[in-house]
Amino acid sequence: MSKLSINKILDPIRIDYKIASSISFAIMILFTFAIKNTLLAIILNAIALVYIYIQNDQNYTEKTVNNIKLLATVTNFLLAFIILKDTPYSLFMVEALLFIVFYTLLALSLNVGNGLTGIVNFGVVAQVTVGAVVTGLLSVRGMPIFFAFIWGILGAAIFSGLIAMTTLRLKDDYFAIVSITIGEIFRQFLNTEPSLRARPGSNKLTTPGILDIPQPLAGFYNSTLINIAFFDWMNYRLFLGFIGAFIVLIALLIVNVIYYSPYGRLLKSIREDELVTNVYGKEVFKYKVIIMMISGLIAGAGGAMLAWIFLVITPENFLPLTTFFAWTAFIIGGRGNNKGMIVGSIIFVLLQRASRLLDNADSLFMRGLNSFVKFANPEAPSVSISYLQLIVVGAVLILFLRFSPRGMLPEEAYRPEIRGKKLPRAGSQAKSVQTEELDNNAQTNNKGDNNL
Amino acid sequence: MVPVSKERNGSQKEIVKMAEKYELKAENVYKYFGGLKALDGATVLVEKGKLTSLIGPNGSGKSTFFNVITGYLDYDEDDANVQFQVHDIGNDEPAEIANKGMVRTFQHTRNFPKMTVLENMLVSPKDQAGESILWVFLGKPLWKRQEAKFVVKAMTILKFLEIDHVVDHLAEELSGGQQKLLAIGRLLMTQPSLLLLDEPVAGVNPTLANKIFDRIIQLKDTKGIDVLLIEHNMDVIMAFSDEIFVLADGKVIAQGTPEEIQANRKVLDAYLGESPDEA
Repeated sequence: MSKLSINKILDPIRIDYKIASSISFAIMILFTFAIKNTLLAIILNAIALVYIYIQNDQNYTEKTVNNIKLLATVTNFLLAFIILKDTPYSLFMVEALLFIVFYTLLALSLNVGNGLTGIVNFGVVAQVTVGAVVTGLLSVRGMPIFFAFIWGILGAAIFSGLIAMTTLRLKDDYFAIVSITIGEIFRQFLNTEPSLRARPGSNKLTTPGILDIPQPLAGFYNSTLINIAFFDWMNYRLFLGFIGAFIVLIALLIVNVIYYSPYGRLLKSIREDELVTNVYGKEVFKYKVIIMMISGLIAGAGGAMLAWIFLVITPENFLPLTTFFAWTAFIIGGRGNNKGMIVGSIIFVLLQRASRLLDNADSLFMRGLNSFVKFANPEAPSVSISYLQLIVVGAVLILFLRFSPRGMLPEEAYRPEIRGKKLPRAGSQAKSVQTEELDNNAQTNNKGDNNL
Repeated sequence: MVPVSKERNGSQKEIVKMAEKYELKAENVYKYFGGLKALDGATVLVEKGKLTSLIGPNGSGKSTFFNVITGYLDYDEDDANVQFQVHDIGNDEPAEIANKGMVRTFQHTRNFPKMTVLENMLVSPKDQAGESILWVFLGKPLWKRQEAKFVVKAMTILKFLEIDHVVDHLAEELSGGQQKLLAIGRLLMTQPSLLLLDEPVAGVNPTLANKIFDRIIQLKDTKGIDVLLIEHNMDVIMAFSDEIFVLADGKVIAQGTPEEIQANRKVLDAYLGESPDEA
């Protein structure tokens, strides 16, 4: 996006990134509290956000720019959250938060598998299914929710490991096909397996799926501790969103440690050129299996989240569409960037669900659309806008792949430091000086040590 | 021409004796692609302390030879006897062979394009603590310390190869010659004892080609790293090689010093087609 001509238009009024993000928040708050026009505030805020995104300031490192983008997106989402809390949109925002958490977990799982290691995994939904079914089934049968959750994610990890061991020797595209198939097989299995139907004892044995899944910390929430404490507007769905956000945080920490370690570097090299990595005596296959297990762990957590969101697990929750939605969030966020997964999910979920806001037969948009349809075919029934979300998501995915394949937050190169000294950055002015320092460093370190 | 030992596995004593003289001994290597005999009993010996080159017209099986002895392709006959130092590496996986100290480059330079030069360099060292998932989480101070050591070593090697000024660039941003140097640099990080270089100076200008070969000679002389290389650039081959093997149609047709090879009629025939007076 850096070479957009709009950049040149904005050049005379070039504003600092940090200033731009502050202005964006200021606009938001001003309009909300002073003018009380939330919609206008959000629109103006969105414009300011777009400005932050298209800026390409050479003064900052890739990492700083990405951090500002992340901060701007997340704080803006949270601000919108708070601003909309007393409006009819508050329910929408809470549900959006829950699905943002869900898709962030899925996208993180993809980022470990594909962004880091280059495995083309189109079977995310299979991993999600295992996580959801195991968590749901065990907790319905009476296991404490925390342990059911642990078993759920472990089950998803073991399942992914088994899949990887049997099929990961296939080349990229073939593995992609197999992984789609595995997800579908699993869904059909869920459809027909009697033990996965409604709870034993109930007379709902004809309905596939698991019903009445207990939700985490519901007792804790009902003990009113939180209600009294600070949020009068807190409801359980929102509380669940915070639990999910906590899980995301832990997953993010784990993935980040892997990412900035020699392990992550090795995985990256597998993504770049497997054969060359093998030349240096690394057992590529072993690494791939382990990383599939870790991605299963995270996607399994997403599955548990899904079980808690819906309270019911039916095979229809696990259509392959979920996989492609996760891929969309992953691509929008920026493959290879963990922070990007949060941004990608926020943008994706808001885009996908925003069309529902327009789904009001009296709205101007709907009246316009329906009159257009009636004009084309007088006998056509009036349209529901929910179908628009697929079109919007597809269009956005194509636009990203065409114009910004690196995503919103592009991947940052891993740059280790030597004794706290940063290495010279590409294109930096003080390069030669820093290199000299490094050389001195190297010489003092090399004494009596055959280094080649 | 070349002495070929009849026994597949000689006695331990013999192996050690051979290993004293030869870094790599690859005898009777066969490889067929369908009806095509890519390697037809080729035998190549790399003596310690000598820069050995493998030349031959296109399609003579040079790269196939590399692929077979580094474990990427299987042997097609059982008589192959491949000994690297004291190890029989005939049945080893590529990773095992690499861990024993025999590492290779590829004909088309293969780096990790979306990683920085330093990252590229840090991928290859053996036995990194941080490459085990448990140590990543439990032994951070350990691998941090190791990492710092590797970074210093990488900088030393990059300086030696004169590409330290691009340390923070992505590998895909380097020029062709720099990319070839980077590939060699990554090999050096593994503390190898034998380098197999597949066309290290193809498409490189003569000045840089000489520089690359200077570096290779320097490595051989100062660090005792032996080199077996494939090359089409006759100027540098004749100037720098100690021993040359000529491969044609999967067979070694000549072996000797550059002078002997230049005077060899068979070699000329292989490159230019048989001369009419002999036909």
